[in-house]
Amino acid sequence: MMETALLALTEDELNTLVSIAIRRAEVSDDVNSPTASDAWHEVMVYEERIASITRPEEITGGIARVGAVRAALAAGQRLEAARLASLYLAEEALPLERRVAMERAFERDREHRARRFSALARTGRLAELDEWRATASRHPRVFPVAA
Amino acid sequence: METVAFYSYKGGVGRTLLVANTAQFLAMSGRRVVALDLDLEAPGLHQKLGSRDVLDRAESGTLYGAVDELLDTLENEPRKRSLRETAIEVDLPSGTKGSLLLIPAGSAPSKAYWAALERLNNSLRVQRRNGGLLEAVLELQAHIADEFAPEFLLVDARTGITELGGLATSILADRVVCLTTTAPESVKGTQVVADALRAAPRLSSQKPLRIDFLITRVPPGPTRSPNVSRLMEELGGSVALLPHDSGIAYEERAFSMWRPDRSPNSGDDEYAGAGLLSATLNWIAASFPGHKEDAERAQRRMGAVYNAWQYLTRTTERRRDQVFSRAAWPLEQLAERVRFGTAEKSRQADIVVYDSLAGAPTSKPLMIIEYVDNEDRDAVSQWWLDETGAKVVAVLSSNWDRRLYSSSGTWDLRPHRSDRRDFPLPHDFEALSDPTDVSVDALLDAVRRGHPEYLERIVTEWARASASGLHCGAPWKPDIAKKIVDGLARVDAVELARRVLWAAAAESRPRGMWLGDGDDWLDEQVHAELFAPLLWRLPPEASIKLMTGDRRPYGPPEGASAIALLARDTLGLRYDPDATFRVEGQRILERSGFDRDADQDRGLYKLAPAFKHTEITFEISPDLPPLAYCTVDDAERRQPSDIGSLVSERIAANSLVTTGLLGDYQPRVGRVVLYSSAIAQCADKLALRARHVGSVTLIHETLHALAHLGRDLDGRMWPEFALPAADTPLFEPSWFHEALTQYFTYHHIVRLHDPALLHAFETMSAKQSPAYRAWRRFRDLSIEDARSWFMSVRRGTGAATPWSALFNPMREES
Repeated sequence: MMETALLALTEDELNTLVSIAIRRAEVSDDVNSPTASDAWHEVMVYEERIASITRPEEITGGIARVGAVRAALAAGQRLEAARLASLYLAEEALPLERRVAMERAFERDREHRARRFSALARTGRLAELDEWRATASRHPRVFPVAA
Repeated sequence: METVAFYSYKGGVGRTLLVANTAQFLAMSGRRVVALDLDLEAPGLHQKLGSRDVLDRAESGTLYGAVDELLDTLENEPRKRSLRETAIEVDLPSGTKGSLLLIPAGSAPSKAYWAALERLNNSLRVQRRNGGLLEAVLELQAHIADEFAPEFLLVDARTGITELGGLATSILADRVVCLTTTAPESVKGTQVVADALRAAPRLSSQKPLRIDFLITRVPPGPTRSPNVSRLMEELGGSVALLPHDSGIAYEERAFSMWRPDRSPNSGDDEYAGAGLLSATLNWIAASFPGHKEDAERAQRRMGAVYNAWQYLTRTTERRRDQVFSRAAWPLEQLAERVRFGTAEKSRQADIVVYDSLAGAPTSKPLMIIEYVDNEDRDAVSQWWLDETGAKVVAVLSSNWDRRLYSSSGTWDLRPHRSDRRDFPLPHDFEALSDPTDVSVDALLDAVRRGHPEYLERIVTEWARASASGLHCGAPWKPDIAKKIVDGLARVDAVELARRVLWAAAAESRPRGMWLGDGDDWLDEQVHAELFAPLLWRLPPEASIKLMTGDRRPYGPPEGASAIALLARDTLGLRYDPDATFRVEGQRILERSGFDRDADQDRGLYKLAPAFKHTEITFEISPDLPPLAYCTVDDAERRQPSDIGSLVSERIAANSLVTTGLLGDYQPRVGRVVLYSSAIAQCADKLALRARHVGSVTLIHETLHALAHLGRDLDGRMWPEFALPAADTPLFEPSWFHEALTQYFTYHHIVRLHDPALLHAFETMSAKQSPAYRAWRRFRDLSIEDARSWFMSVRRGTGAATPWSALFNPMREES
């Protein structure tokens, strides 16, 4: 559920904020800041809000939908990225180039993780891990598990 | 590859040690094993499995491990390090088919390690969107599988509820071994964790998680006490028990966690453990089934090496319910699993004892211990002696089969196989030219050179050699027993002699360590045939020091029973001051019409001082003897004469006396006194040793005391049979007292089989007054006849017997 303050923002205001948030997240990435993930999460929140008030065939709407998915992946929230992608891809009006962009974002993320976790990738367990996380997140647990 | 995580909700349950020992056991059973330390906040696996080099690297911060691997995975793309650079091959005994690789946590506990761990935590925060700890740990596991293809990956997991602990147990592992003690907090936590693990989701390609429970440190007592049984029910699944062993608190090392079962016939308390070794090894063998023979071989090896380590390092030992301290090897001088030799030919020693700090550049091996299976042990020992120059090589082949070798000292260093079975300790290398030579001669030599630590062993050897009897059937070696008594009797140093006596005393129990449980018959034999003879043969200063030392509460002084033996065997009397007090006190009370109902015990107690003199006391006095103050010619007391001149005059005039000059028995107080200055002068002038003159005097005066204070077999005392006090003017030796006492002194010395003592007695006697020489005329008289005459004299009827003429010293004069 989106926060009230977020709901009160206009599209222009959201565009301004998302531009600033993107810049901040990029800088955080550059300096290897532990807050980069949070910064990308903020970007995702703005993009998701913009997407909710724009139509998919609009330029702004298409960009926001792709942006929300990319930001979720950049934040390391792959489950959320997958949820958003399935939501947006279900919209028939979403242009093809946006669909391709979303798939590319997932593809790049998979490639990146496969390079980093090469041995896991060879066993096909990376994909299993995402499923496991999804299951584990719904499961009552004793041991803490990072997102 | 099967991944087994060892987890405990709380620490201190023996988890890391169990990982280390399981890893070694499996490797020694021919399996390929990787041991991974994921207890990143409190790592210790490398301490259990690492060589000295590994520990040095950890200390210097150059040991790479799991933390560095995880960092490499998270920070570098592609990884910069190869896992082969990090994994350490644990050196296994020669001939082992399996392999063991150790991946430590890192250079713990150096500062570099904690810095690396902090960096890892930061990196996990920074990189979490690229994949967190979950991916990194699984990546490490996958790398291990790719690189080494082990059969088992054993993971030491983090204690408590942590993310890493959760990952290691719930998703990394195929099997979890949950360890817990019986403590309520540990059990409750384990139950919660176990429930969580059972319900935890698995990767789609994984089989269901297997959970084994181990309840450790189970208190002694019935194996399945109600508490433990309830606990096992609550935990469910596969539950095994490991008993408590306090030894863990002292030396928590791989191999040394457990004690083996008591050897069926060893009788050695040192090996009386709680069976933890067996229980644990059985658990491992059952939990990781494989080739039975390989597992049994590994089990035998671990037990044998453990026993060796335990023996070398234990600083206390329990004997007959008492704990004694023990001179063990300092841990700093020992090293485990050290490889010697060249690339072409090398062997791994299971334990090396160094002459100084192990690992120091100048330290040299003193002793090599290796477990050898299916090899020529003589050849192996030869190789070790050639290669290392160690003085001793111990070759083990099972828990109880050891062979010790030493260099023969010849030019070709041919190994000499010893009969010794126990491992030499530090004092053996110091005291024995060949530390494996524990022959009676070598031990006696070491004792005489000032090493009393061998006394217990010698006493034990004496007991073994003489422990034969009509009922025993042990190999009887009277020549060895005699050699031991004679060897110990030659000890000159007073303090050492006192320790000899103490080791042979009835109250000294250490020989139980060698001979097993106490045996009253054996105690009596040791006392009568070893302690009592030594009491009279060793320097009298030592004997008197022992007899006048601190006495035990409610007991007679040390040595009292040896005096009682002298009374019984020589004079045919009973010496028991306590019994005398009781019997005589009772008699007095009855005569006095004492109201026993009113005051039963205090009345007797009040009489005690009156009987003090019935207990013989001993003293060595530096004062001049009574005869230095008076002469037979002069009734007046005069200035003390020079003791040297007095003794010379007496010897020249053949009028040397024992009583009043060399020693004295003071009948009023029941005290035996030896006068050290007169004894020294006498010894000097007769070319004897002072200790022998002193011993003869001690025996002589003690016999006077016993003749006075001993009771007849019918219980009667004859207090009037007392010597005249030597410090009175006109003192004349009582001829029948002295003649009889000399006769019994002679016979007692003959029984002691001490030629030096007999020579001293005869030499002194030759220069003594007629009363002291009279014994020669009836030396062949049977001791029974002599006792008979002694009894009649004691009762005041002796003068009328035909023996009186024989004993009359004037007869010799005429």
